[in-house]
Amino acid sequence: MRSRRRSVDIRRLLAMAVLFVLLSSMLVHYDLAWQERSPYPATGEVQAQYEDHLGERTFHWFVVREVHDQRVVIESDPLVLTIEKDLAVEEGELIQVYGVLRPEHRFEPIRVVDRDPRSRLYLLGISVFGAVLTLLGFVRSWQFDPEGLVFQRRGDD
Amino acid sequence: MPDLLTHVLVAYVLFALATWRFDRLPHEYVPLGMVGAMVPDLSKLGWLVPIPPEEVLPISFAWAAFHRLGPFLALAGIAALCFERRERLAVFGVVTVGGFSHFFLDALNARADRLVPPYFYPFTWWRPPTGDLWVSSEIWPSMVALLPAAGVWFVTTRWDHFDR
Repeated sequence: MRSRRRSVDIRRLLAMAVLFVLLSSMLVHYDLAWQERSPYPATGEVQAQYEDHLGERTFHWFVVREVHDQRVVIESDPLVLTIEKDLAVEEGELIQVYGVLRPEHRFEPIRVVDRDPRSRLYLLGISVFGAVLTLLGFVRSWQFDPEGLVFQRRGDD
Repeated sequence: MPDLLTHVLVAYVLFALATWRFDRLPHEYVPLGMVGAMVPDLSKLGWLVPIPPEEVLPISFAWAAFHRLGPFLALAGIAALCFERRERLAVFGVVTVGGFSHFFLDALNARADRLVPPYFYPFTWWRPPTGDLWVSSEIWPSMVALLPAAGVWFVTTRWDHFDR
């Protein structure tokens, strides 16, 4: 009985190891493959060879660095662009911009989606609350069996 | 993405209603569905880790990939293996459905290029159009999700009370 349990556990560990290797491979592969597959050039590439990308449409998340009348400076490390338009954004705000690359690092926006700069703290706070709520629900329903190294329903001893 | 609270509340409503409808789905599976709805947001851990992976690891990886179908299914599989054999298939199914609810809600998010990221990786790089319903910082999705969740919680606790 004990040896059967051990062999089952070894199979379980093996299956976990296979899934872990598969997961790690996908995390690494996605990083490499998306650079090739993305319809938009990487910010580093645009910054290095700006003239080659003139007229191209691109999409990125940017941090708003400066806001002036009819001029907003945005940055997506290392790319710095200027939008010559009055946008209702604040310094430090994270915005998504889809637009066309124009000469002298000007960016002609087709669409801007902005986010409240205070939202990061709100999102973090409310997300931690959601995670704690879920964890409490889980702990109330399931317990860890140290002998079998598995979670089992509470009251199923 | 809507905030994590919205995701877990939606999963709570879905699975609590499912336990009402299907006797074979015990109430212990409700928080498992909520855990499944949290898993794709492991991609946000990158926000909290200030050092890029390549600075501490010999190879780089993308945090965003946690929010893609293949890595999510691998994680759901690992999670299922942490439970007793008789529970594993059900755990995998419930965690997966919870995760799918997360992907669906995130696909409704507004994006400047109006395209959803390649959520179906590694099966396809296809990017469907977004629902464009909300921006992630908006409070109203969690408020809207809170109402049915509170209603379901109220009925569930009353129901348990009367069952006794």
